[in-house]
Amino acid sequence: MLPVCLRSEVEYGVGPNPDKRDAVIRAATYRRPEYDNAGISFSPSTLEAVRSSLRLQFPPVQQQRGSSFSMLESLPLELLCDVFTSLDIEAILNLRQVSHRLREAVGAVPAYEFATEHGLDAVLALFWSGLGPHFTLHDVNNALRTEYCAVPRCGRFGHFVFLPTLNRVCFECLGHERQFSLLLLSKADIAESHSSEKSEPVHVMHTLPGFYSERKRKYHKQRHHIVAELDSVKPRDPGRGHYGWPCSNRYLAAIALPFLECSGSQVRSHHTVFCKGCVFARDNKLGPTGRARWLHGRTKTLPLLVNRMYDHRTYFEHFKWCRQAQILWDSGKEIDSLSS
Amino acid sequence: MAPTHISVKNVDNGRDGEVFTITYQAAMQSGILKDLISDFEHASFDEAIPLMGNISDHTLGRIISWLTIHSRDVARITEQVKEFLENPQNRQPPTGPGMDDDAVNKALSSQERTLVAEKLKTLTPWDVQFFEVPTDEVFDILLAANYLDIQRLVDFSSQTVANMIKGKTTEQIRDLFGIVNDFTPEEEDELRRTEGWALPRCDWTPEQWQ
Repeated sequence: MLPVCLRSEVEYGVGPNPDKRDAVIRAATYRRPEYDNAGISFSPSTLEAVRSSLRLQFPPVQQQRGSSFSMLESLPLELLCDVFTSLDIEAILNLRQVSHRLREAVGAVPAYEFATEHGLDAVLALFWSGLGPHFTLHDVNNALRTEYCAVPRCGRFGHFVFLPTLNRVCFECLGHERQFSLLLLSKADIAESHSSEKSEPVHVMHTLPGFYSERKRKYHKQRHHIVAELDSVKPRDPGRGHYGWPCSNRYLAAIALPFLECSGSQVRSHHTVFCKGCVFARDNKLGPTGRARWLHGRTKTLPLLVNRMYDHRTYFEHFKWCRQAQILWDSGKEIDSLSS
Repeated sequence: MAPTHISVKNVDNGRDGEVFTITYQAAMQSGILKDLISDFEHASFDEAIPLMGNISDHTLGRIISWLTIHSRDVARITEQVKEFLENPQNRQPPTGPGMDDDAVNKALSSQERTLVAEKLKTLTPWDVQFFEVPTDEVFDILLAANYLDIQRLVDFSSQTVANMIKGKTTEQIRDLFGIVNDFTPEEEDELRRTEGWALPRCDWTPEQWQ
């Protein structure tokens, strides 16, 4: 709840118009790169290089290709798409190098287009961490279109995707929940499952070197082989303290991913955001009536407010009453109308 | 009144082929057969319906046997899933905000839908055996199933093709399907240079590849 001095007098409704809501988010919130890069992250130049290689098209070769097509290549495009949707990421990337026709066909699969356009970092993270053979592009798309943390009764926005299962998870649950425990492969006991039907598959991933975590950013250099703790995967030596891997290392198996709200052909991405209005209030030691000292001296909630994470839904709850954010939005509107 | 059995006469490239008999329920899985049956509704079903799909007798016979085996699947699987979900332990609680009855019911019905869809897409051991045939024949079945508009069989055969592709190198894929490598040497060089990141099972790190 906002302190009285920061509260607006009346509720400020934004309305359901998605364009306006997007504009409010742009004007009154900001993203923090250290939160977006808390999990696996790639440098913009790496992503750009991969993007350009994905876009690489060869000019059609002038030769009688029709006669030399194999059965697979001569399938109609919609059937090829059917085939490719059940392929894993590794096989898809592999097929692009088999022949011109298959390279073209892979590019036409809607799931491929969507995943590489919006979730390229997740695709790369899966591929480079050795999970490529276990997940399909469809799985990545599902993760992109899921909004909430997979932990029942959590209800928060899922900022990350936990790679060994491709489940959405929020900051809090990633650190605390048992289902996101990781074990070093060397310290894990993997039970041979006899009832293959019910048991979850065990996927081994290797970590990627880089900076992790949002506050104490630390460089992890070594590559570890890790597995997620499941019913069939248990620590080898449960008596000895913790399970080999501290909770803070769970960032190594997670990647921040936007939630994509798709309505028709329009795609809107949702991220974890922070309120600009609250930062403005802190920096200027402001209350809504300008009684700066009062606020500065008394309230301790402001640092908490400044660091509070929102998703788009919870942000509008906050925005309804956050005076400073409303001022920012209103002044932005004025600038817009002046410039136009 | 709907008949219990339908006979279908295969016409392959203008030549009359074999006549197959199939139950009404099994035939309804195919969009084309469904349309044909409704077209012929007023005629007597004593005569066989001609099917002009240029499908070989052998392939059509196999497809008819597939249709017969799977004719009751949807009802059976829905019932199984319902039974499975009657046990509260198997139910998934809803994620996201809101835990009222509405959200719980919504989560339950969506779980039921995904489970049914998942089970309908899973190949049974019978299907695995069904597809243990030469590669060409799998493609024949896929194309015929597509013509006859049997979505499940299309899914099954494309899964079979996908399973053949999985875990193979580019060279192995070319060998298996008889694909000609139509990249010129210059193009191959370019692929090696720009798509180094996409080498299968590479131990490269993002930094090494730059």
